[in-house]
Amino acid sequence: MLFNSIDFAIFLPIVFLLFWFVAQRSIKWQNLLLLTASYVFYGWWDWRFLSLLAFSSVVDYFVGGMLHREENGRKRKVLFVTSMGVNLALLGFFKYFNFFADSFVHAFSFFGQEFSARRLNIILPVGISFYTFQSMSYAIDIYRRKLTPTNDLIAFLAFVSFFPQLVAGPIERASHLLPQFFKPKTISYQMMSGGLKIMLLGFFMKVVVADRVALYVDAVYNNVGLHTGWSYMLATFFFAFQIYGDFAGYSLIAIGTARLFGFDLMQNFNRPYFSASFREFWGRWHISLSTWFRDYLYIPLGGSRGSKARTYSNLFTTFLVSGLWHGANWTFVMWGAIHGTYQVVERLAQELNFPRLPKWLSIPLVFVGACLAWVFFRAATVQDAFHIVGAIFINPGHGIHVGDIGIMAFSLAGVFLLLGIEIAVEYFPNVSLLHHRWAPVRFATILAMLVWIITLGVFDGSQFIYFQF
Amino acid sequence: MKKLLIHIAIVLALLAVVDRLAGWGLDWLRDHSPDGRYFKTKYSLEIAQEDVIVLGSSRGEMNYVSQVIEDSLGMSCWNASRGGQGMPYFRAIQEGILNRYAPKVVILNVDDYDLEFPPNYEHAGVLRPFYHNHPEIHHILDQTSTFEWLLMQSRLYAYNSSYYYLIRPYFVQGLDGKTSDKGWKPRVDTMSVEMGKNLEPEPPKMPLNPEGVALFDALVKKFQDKGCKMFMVVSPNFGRSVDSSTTIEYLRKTSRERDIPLFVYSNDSAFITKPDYFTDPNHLNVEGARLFTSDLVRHIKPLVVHNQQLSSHD
Repeated sequence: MLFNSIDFAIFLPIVFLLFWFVAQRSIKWQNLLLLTASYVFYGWWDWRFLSLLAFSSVVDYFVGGMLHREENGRKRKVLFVTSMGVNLALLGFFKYFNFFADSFVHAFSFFGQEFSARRLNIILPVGISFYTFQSMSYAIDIYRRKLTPTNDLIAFLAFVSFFPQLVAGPIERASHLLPQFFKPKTISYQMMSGGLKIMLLGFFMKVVVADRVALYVDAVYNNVGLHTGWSYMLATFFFAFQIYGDFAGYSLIAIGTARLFGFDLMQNFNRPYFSASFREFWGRWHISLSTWFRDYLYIPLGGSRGSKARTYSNLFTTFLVSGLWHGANWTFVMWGAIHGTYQVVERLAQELNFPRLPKWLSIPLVFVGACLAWVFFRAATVQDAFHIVGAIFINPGHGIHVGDIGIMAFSLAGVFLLLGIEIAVEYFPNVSLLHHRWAPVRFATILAMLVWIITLGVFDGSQFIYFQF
Repeated sequence: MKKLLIHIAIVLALLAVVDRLAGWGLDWLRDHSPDGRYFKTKYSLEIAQEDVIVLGSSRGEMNYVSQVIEDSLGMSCWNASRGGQGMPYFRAIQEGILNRYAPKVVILNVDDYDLEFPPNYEHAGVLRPFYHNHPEIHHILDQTSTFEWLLMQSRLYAYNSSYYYLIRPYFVQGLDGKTSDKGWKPRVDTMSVEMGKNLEPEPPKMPLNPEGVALFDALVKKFQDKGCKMFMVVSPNFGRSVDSSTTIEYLRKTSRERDIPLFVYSNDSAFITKPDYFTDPNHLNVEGARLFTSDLVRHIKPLVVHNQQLSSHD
């Protein structure tokens, strides 16, 4: 079920009313209701994959319990490997089987060997990368003795499948989210109204900005070879806002929806395009994933505890894996490698005591660097990406594809309005029209946003980009 | 909770008021548009009484010169085509026209691969501003999304994304053809050499799309049932000779079975090899459109005259 669909507009109030009716009476029933609602939400897309979600969750629930009770180090390791193996096998099979099969074939043919591998007709289950990571973190934390497992299966299943963040995050840690399933809930005006306002901003970012600029981005990126470097440049600039509006918008809707049920989800984006360094960028972009990789990959690899070379290698490896997490395509691997390189170069510059750039220069530079990496993220193939980069930097040509002037005008209006909001929140945090102390200003702002969404939003039921990851 | 519900109710009430007020203003802009896309659609749905109606997508809109048809056939003509549209739009316009009168002649432009692809109902969403005044098009527009009928309760939604083309004619006129062009959208530019080199490859042979075919069949049947003399035309594309596609084969079959003359120009070397006649590889410029329309009406005229003679004998 998509957040920007009528189905969800009907589903949410029903679940909301049932939830608050039940939550006042019994936490057990409340969790059972959330579990049922979450499975309905997920099954709306394809009910067959519910078994996958249930299987992954049940394995981690039981392995988590056993890991906690077991004292023998070797047996604990076996249990831990079992949990990781199951999750990574599911992810590997459904997401990466064809990618690795194709890559093997290409590698063999590159060396002049004919080799054929059978491709499987595999459907990628929506959000599999998100819920397996959330479930894995539970087992890892118990293995590290940082978390006590729950003995309430229903609550655990509800935690893994919690519908607001099930298919595109934020990827929550059990230590933060799971205890909230056991706390009695009380309705508060502040919480509800705050949740609805967050959702409103999320919808604005999704349907007014992301889906609108996507029309131009698709027109250019789906016809690589037919456009000038200027058009690729504009399309890439738009894509930076498309992916941000799409993903941050989804996260905001998820956070706002969770608040309606009395749950607090972690912040996932913090105006990343105002970052003055790539290190800061990753502290502001997809925070739940970057902290996941930091805690469960970068630090176990050795983090910055070893030699400098080892630290760089760990950083680069983490970003390479992060790239692969985003999709089974070499374009994503390249995207990860570019960001890994940025991190390494930045650290090197720091260690060599290079002078720090002023913010007015470093912020645009980081944005341009991020855009360069987005080319690889958005392009269909690595060859296409190189063609685009070449056209932008070496042979921009003449003219720019404008396409439909209406779409272009609304795209620019959406992007600059979002930029204005971001600047206001970043530099004038006390000036929030949505939370203004004077009620008419708040109402007028909400009304203006609703009108803008209805009049200029794109309502074709388009998918959130991050579902595919 | 009570406070929240009251505040939500206030916001929704205000939204409903803004929606209605803006709706009136937007309806006024639509109804008084001096020319442009909304003027043309309104004319097709509500005003047109012409003897000859041309229906098609952008090729229909740019390739058929109403004046040439009028001068040659001695009948009034309105080009009801619209760029980017397909069978769902044609069916909706047909409903609007036949609700008022039956044109004597209908020229239907079909693209050479039209019926191989599923009909794009979303594109027909440009008709949303006309939804409330035209119950006869509801069954088409309601298919643009699952809960379209519900969304259409909002007047603002009906005008979603339409503002640029709604307001433009008040400042600049003639960009979609002057009113005197009677629906034709003339293009004066001639395509560049570069354009001629970057031609779209011919799509592979594909089966017919049953949904598209059903809409096409319904369109043809309804015009014929109302006694309209129909002609089907496949217009030319530069540098691409298409003598036979699944769509063209189906048109030939329909032509035989329903006795509708079919004119296939997509293999006509008098056009497809002449870049000077095109504004881009898919659309004729003014010169090309005049020649094409003249050539077409030369073939059509005897059949129309014959048909009129038969009608007068009835």
